[in-house]
Amino acid sequence: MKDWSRRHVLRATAGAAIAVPMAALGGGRTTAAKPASSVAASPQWSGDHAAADTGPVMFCIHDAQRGEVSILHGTDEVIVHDRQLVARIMQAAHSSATVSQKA
Amino acid sequence: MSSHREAPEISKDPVADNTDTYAFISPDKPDTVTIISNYIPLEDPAGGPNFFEFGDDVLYRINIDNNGDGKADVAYEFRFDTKIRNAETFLYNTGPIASLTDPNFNRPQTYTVTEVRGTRRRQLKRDIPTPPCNIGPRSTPNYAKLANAAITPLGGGISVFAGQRLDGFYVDLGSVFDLAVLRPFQNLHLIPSPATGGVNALRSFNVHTIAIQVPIGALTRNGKTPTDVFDPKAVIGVWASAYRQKGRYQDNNRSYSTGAFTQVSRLGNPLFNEVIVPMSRKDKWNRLEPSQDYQFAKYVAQPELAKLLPVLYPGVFPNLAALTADRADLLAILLTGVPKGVIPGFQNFTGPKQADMLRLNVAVPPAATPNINGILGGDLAGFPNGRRVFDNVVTIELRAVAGQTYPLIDKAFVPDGAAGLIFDVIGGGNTPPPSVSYLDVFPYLDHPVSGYNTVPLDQSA
Repeated sequence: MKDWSRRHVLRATAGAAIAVPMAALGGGRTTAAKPASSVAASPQWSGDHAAADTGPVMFCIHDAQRGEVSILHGTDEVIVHDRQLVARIMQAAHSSATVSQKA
Repeated sequence: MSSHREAPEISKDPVADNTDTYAFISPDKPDTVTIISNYIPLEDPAGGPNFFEFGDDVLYRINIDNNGDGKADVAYEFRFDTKIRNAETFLYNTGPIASLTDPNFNRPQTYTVTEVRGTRRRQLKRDIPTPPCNIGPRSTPNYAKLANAAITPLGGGISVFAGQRLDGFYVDLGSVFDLAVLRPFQNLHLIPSPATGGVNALRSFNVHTIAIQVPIGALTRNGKTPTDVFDPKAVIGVWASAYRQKGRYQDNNRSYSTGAFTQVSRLGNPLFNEVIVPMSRKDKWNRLEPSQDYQFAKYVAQPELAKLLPVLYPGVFPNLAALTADRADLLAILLTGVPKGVIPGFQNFTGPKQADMLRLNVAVPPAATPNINGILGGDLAGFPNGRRVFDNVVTIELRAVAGQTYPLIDKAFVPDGAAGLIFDVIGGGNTPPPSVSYLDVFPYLDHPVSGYNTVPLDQSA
């Protein structure tokens, strides 16, 4: 798994350039543990269509109160829990001035 | 329809909308199983200049459960890739397309097949060609030859085909969705009208087919080809599913998908999500795998349609109206398979786990003289033992819901006379409507009708 950081997340998405401290985040893929005999319910595709490491990164915050960010990259999803990070993203999302400056 | 536009969300996403799934012992190669999943409902053959194609951003999967837990043990994944040969024309083809590599074919689509067993993934082949859509005699002059060239062996006795086909499913849509009118019984309906013959609403429409033919031993639990119908390992569960990546981004300059794949469509038994599951839960159903179908069992046990029939046809279904017990017959047919001892010489029971899958007993050989009404017609090789391309599934399921299969679990129950007379599109008998046709060989669904040669709203059934 990649060494995700807040800066990495923010820089790689939508051209955002909000200054945040560099910090490694704990995260985990969403694939649940399963018996080896069954095929994963969601495909674990890693073929030619998978985006390279240089591909786009998207993230989604479904519930800011929980401090949880879903990061989508290639054919993976990584869930990161970081209330500070979420707070900064939400602050940026509600700041039209910040968005327009960076647009 | 079987599953064409069956749920609110997927009806807006045709390339991922699974319309039909079939699983049967290949009649001409009885040591193999053929599994077919169709997508893109109601393709108007003349729908150019951007003719129909699979989604490059969709992952298609065919799933096989061989231990009855409602989870896939073997899966085949299909991913497509589309090229444009001539970037300076709006045309799909710049002249007659004589071969799959013809430079006149301006928008060729290829695909990759990956086999998944547990956590092991193996790419079987990449850059497999698909045929163009059937446009007309000038653009696709020898369509059968063109399409047949796209049937591709993958090694290990496996063959695949992906491309446009004539929709082999038939249903009187205009009738059944007009408050469950069953032509020619309109005169008995609560809102009566003169009786007329049935109409195949899918006549002259194409679909996009993914078909794979696999040796039986590659799908069963122990890798063997069973010959004993009552061997529990002789039954496999089959369903198809489609996935999109969770993230989709669009602006003026670019669009892309990224992130993990999430299921957006699935299909095992025809009409399950369409007719059994309430509208408010259809989208949820499409996102689950069969192992979680216990939560929909109550809709099978007390199907809404069985309550509606006696109301819409006053006095026609009195025994059905009086039947209040849970429908153990339907629960078996759709969610667990039929256990030994219910139908002489047959079982397709996969255990107590309730899961909507086509259940195919691979020890039942193909019928020498198939009956399109499947097991209800005395043909153990037909639906609901898997599903063949010509099986009359709407009639079979309508009759089952109307009570004709309830005596299987309660011999005291006498079905209403009308239950055995219900038919959809065709007037009984053992022949599909004249508007559909099939092939005797893989991929069994017939070549698509062409845009040039198809007359819209042709009234022939």
